[in-house]
This record gives sequence, structure tokens and C-alpha cells, in this order.
Amino acid sequence: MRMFLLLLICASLFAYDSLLLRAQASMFPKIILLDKNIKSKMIDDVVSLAVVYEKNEFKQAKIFKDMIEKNYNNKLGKYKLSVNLINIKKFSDSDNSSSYYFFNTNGIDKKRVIEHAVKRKRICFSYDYKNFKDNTLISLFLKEKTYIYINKSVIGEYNIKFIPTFYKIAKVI
Amino acid sequence: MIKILLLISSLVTILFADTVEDDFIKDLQDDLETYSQIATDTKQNVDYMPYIVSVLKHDELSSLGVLSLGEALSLVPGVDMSIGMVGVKNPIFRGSNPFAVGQSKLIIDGVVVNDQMFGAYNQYLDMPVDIIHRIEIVRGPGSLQNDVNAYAGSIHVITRANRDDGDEKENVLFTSFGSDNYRMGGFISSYEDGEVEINSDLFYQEHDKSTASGPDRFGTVLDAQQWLEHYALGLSVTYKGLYLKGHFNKNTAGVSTGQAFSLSEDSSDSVDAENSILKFGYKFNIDAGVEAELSFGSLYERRELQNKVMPDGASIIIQNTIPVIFPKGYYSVFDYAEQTYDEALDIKISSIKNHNVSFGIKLSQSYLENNIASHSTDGLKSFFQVVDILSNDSRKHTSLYVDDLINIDEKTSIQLGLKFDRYNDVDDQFSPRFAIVHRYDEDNIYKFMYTHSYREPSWREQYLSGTHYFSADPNVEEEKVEAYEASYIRKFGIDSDIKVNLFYLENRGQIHSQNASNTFTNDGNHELHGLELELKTSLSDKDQIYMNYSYVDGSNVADTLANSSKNIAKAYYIYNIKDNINISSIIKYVGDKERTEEDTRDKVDDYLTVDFTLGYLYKRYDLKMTASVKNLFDENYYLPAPEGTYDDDFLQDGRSFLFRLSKRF
Repeated sequence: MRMFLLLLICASLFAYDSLLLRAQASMFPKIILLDKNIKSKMIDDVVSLAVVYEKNEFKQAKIFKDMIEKNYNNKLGKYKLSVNLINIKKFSDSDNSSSYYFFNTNGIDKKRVIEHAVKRKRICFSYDYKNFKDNTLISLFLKEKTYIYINKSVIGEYNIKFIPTFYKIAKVI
Repeated sequence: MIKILLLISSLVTILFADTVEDDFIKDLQDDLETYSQIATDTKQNVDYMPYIVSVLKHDELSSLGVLSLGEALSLVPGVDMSIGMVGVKNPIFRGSNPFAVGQSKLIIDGVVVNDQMFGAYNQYLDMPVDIIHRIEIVRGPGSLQNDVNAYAGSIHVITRANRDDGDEKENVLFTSFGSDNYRMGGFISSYEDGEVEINSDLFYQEHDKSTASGPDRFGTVLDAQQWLEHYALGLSVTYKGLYLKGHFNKNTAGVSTGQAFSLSEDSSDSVDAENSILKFGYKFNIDAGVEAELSFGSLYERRELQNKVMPDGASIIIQNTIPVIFPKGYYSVFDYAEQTYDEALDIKISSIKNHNVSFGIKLSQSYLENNIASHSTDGLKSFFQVVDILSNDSRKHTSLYVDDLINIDEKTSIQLGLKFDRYNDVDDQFSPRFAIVHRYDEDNIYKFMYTHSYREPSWREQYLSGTHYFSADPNVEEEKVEAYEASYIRKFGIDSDIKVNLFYLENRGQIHSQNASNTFTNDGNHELHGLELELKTSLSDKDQIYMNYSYVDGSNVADTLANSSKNIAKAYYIYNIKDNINISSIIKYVGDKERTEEDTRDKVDDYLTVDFTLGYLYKRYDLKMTASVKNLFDENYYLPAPEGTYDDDFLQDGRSFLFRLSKRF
């Protein structure tokens, strides 16, 4: 029975919910701007979101990037918005993205990217809040209502100061 | 002075910055509300809500090679089919009274399409999946629409022309062809200009199917003519809060196994059904968080039938002694039409913290427009007994409802609902509902629901007059149900879960005609209990698997579980060989079925069918093609016929082939 449940849990890692993706594509870029120090994380007034994918996630990553670009037309408030696809195997330690997004990838490569982001106080979003165990910071969940979840266990490590009202609409878990 | 200017400048900058951030916060709050509403409307979050619902989506059904609404319903746990007059199929939910039509409601884009005559919606079961965006099926009496009282189940079809998930509308051309000269073609079209949106769908389908049948109650063995010519148009126009939507449906078909359960050798026999629904409404905000909708609807249905119900040389005994012989057989010809108008006002209040309140009133008036039955014994040269089919020609109905979905906290929600119905010809009805859902955590969800509901007698059951195969009892009363349902959902991810549902149904006054005079009467109180198990998951990143098993026991009419299987299992598997090639299979097992107590025939045999589909997407032209084999192993299987009609029951479709193409623009 335990093996069966384990199989289910593993298998579930590969399903993507289009409504959840759309909601994330709409909300996550706005959350980036709620970082009080976001200016210091931009290059040439460009806010960048790196969608980090594994080989089998490329199609989904492209869809997600297209969703964001369609929503924002490369403009986020008074700044430019750039969405970049990064193959996790080719991730460079010199990457200077303003924020990162992960699907359900896991493993050593993801750990390396997240450590890089935490060190630079960059937000790491995850498709599924269950991946908070990998130290991603923010996710979204559709239940009877829609919830923005903040990962309580790593909020200190990231040391990102959000504007106070963000904490009123998000839920720290 | 410079310092002061710098200070002012800084303050302005800070204020401006705050304003921008506040804008984003407000945008985020709006997004949270918008996506909560979409998730609720599209039943995306239904696992966390107080209902037991199955949601079937277009893409999934298309990959599985499912052709029609009726075929899609057969995937749902606990749903089986029964067959009535002229071979009409009727979904049965959880074994509940398979002899009654109308225990389930069909709602197309928010409009109930069941008629008054039979409570039927069978002409929509042939609706091709090509025009369907998703199907929401509630098992049990709790409908997803507060103004609709279902009895055993409700089916809500959202067409692609009326999709409400916020995604872009589509322009699609589709066609199918297959066994029995099946041909179908149609399109979905969308147009948007500013705040005006026009969406439509149109299809035509035909086939010349016939099935070896008999012996019937006269000993005749023939092919039952099941040919079909069917076209339908759907239209939706919206401008700001105004909307107009309609469906126009016309099908002409062979009389299959007959109006009076006899086969006809007259190839000109047919049943012609026309059904149109139209709804015009206006949605507006009374205040922040208070929405109102005023609507006016119309449902028109006409059925014309010509059927040779007795073969040449058949005889009947009148006044218990005198035999009357019909050398040229006996024809029944019906021309029947009904019209229903309704007016409704619905209010939704979301501004009360943690409450979602809705209430409303609906008035409806149903009238007979045509009501003629005539008979002929000289091969349709002359008619006699030109009489009214029904002894009553109208029904008036007023319905009031109130419903509150209360989110007590993030873990627990309760739903309280009450509906009151008043008819001019049925007793007043109060239908309360109580449901609680406890989200122990995101992965473990518990639900309990209690619902009282009823089904008013159809006009056929209450007012049928003249000499027909069936008779009515004007004193027949409504069927009533007390439904207790419990559910546990264990989620393993966003699209992977196990569901366990338990149900106990107390049915009172079940209406059926399984008696010597074939008269519709209420027959005692019966209970049904059972469970449904569902598993949905993936075994790899390329596939999807779904399995369900349902068990029901107890009795539905008299003291038996007649014409319903205790054990039903269904499964499907989709494997994506590449991102544009998939194979899939559907397996259905339906256990054997008991008869009514008086029916001494053996049980109806169990059966297992397997369908197989290959799908290919030609990416360059966004052209999707599927090839399916249905009933791959050509299993001979039967659906039960009433006692004294077809002793060998109704043979169902053997192996068949289907090819489909669809192109998006």
C-alpha cells in the first residue's frame, strides 16, 4: 500500500493545471514588484523572471512564458519585464535574474539554483506549494478560495522585505 | 529651500511608489477573487466544495474517442442506461428507478432542457463532444445550480461557444464519419468586437443504423430502424450585462423498438423531435458584491410520431371476449407540442464576509400547443379515435430558493439551502439541503451532505388519456428522496487523487408502470445504498489513468433492484507516445441485472466492452485526427426490456469504427 501511495505521489508531479498556471502567470510578476528592494535586483530597469525548466518541462515552460508575455506585454508598471527560459542543466552561477520560477523539478540542480537565489535575495516561485520543502518561497493554490502561500520555514533565509500590505493578502504557512 | 524641495520630492516619490504598490496589491486582490470565481464556476476546485461532482473535459473526451454526450456519461461512476419507448436511452444514476424518465436533469449552458411530457432530454444525448467544453455531473439530488432541483443526478453541459473559464473562445471546423454510414460535420465560430461577443455552433449528423431485434410482443423479428438525421444550432450573444443564448435542435429518427414495444416493417415510420431553448437576460451589480440577474426563457418542444404499433393481422380482445383483427395492422400517429415560458430573478451576495448567499424566484408556465393522437387500421388512409393525448393542457410553477455557502474558516465550509416549489397540480414542496466540507489539509478532504428532493410527475405519468400502451393515474404523486452522502478525497497532487463516496437514499413513491395495466403509479418506499471509488493519476509524465467502481444495493421498484447493476466498473487510459500522438482505451464492465419480482426471466447478463483510439495532431495545420474502434471485441450485450415486451431484451451496438477530424483557426 505504501509503495502504491508513493507511486501516486511521484506520478502526480507531472500534471499541470492550466487555470493554476494562468493565475500564476497573472499574479507572480506583480508579487515581484512588492519586494521593497526590487530596484537593486534589476538591470537597466528590467525586472526579469527566469522560468527554470528540466528537459521534459520545456513545452510547459514555453506556454507559461507566453502567458506572462501576453498578460504584460513586457511591461510591469513603470519597468520592463523580461521572462527568460533557463534549462536547469545550463544554469550559470553568474545568473542575475530578479526572480525564479520552478515547475515540479527537483534534485541537486534545483537545490543549486535556489541556493543561488537565496544568497542574492531573489524570490523563488514554485508551481506547487508542496515544493516548499525545496526552499522555494512563494506559491499559489486554488481551493475554496485562491491562496498566495509564503514558505514560513525559509522566509528568514531569503530576508526579502515585502511591503506590509502583501502579508495581509498572503498566507504564511 | 533646496532641502525643503528635496524633502517634498522624496515624499512625492515615496507616495507615488506606495500608490504603484497599492495598485499592484489591489490588482492582486482582484486576481485572487477572479481566479477563485473561475475555479468555482468551472468546478476546478470542486474537490474542496460541498458536492460530489465528476467533470469531463473536451480534450480528455476527444483523446478517448468519445463521440457524444450520451457516450461521455457512460464514463461516470454509478451511471448506467435504460431504454424506453422508441429505443430512447435514459441515464440511470445509482440504480434509482430505471423506469422513470426525468430523475436526472440536463442543463445546457445554464438552461434546463427536460420537457414536461416525459421529463426527457434524450434528443441531446447525441450532441457531439466536438461542441462541448465540459460536462459537470452531480450524482445525487444536489444540483450545482441553486434554482434546479435534481432527483438522482444532474448533468450540466457547457458548450465551447459558451465556455466560461476565461480562455479565448475558439473557431473550429469538425467532421466525423464511421460505421453505419455515420457522417457528421459542423463548426464553432466566435466573433468579438469591443464589448459585443457572438458565439455559435452548428452541426449536422446522420446514420442509417439498424439492429437485429425481436421477437417483440407480437413475435415479430426484424431490424429495429435506428437511423438518424439530426441538426442543431447554438447561439450566444453578449453585450455588457445583456445576453441572449439559444439552442435549436431537430432530429428525425427511426422508431427503433417502437412506441408500444413492437417492431414495424413500415420504413416510413419515424419520430420527429424539435426542441428549442432561448434565454434572454441581464446581469447587473446592485452594489459592490451584490449581483443580480433578470432572465426570461422559453422552451418549445414538438414531437411527431408515426408508428405501426401492431403488425398486419394482429388482434386484440375488447370487452374481455370480442376479438378484433387488424388485417393491415394498427398505426398510432401523435402530434404533440409544448411551450414553457419562465421568468427569473437571481441575486448573489458575496460582500458578506465568509458568506456566498444566493436567492431568487422563478415563475414558469407550461402549455400544450398540439395534443392529438390518431389511429389508423387501413394503412394510414383514414384515421379514427382522433383524441387528445393528455387530459390536461397546462402547468404553472413558482419556485423560491435561498442558499448560503459559509466558509467558517480555511478548513471548513457549510452549505445551507432551502427551495420551495408551488405548482397548480402538484403538492407544495420544501427541499432543504445541508452540506459540510472539512479540509483537514490540502490533501485530505471530508464531506457530508443531506438533501431532500422530489420529482414532479411528468404529464405522461399524470395526464395520458385515450388508449395507449401506457396509462396514467391523475392521482399520481411526486417521487421523493432523502439523500445522505459522505465523501473522502485523498489528493496526491493537483490532478491525482482517490475518492470514496458512500450514499444512502430513501426513495418514496417511485413512479413506474411495471404492472398488469401498464399504468403509472406510485409504488411504495425503497432504499438504496452503496459506494463509489475513483482513482485518477498518472504512471509517468506521458500518461493519464482513471478508474472507478460503483456498488449499489437495496431496491428501486417493488422489492428488487430491477434493471440496474449492483456492480459497475469503468476505466480509461491515455498514453502520449509523442506530444502529438496518443493512444487510449476505455474499458467498461456492467454487472448482471435483476428483474422486477413478477418478471421470471433470467437476469440480464453482465458485459464488458473495450474501445481503442489512436489520436494524431498535425501541428503545422493544428489538425487533430482520431481513429477509434468501439466495442473492439464485438461483445454481444443487452439492455433490459420491460416484461412482456422483448423477451430477449434490447441488443446494443457491436463493433464499430469512427474517424474524426477537427481543425482550430
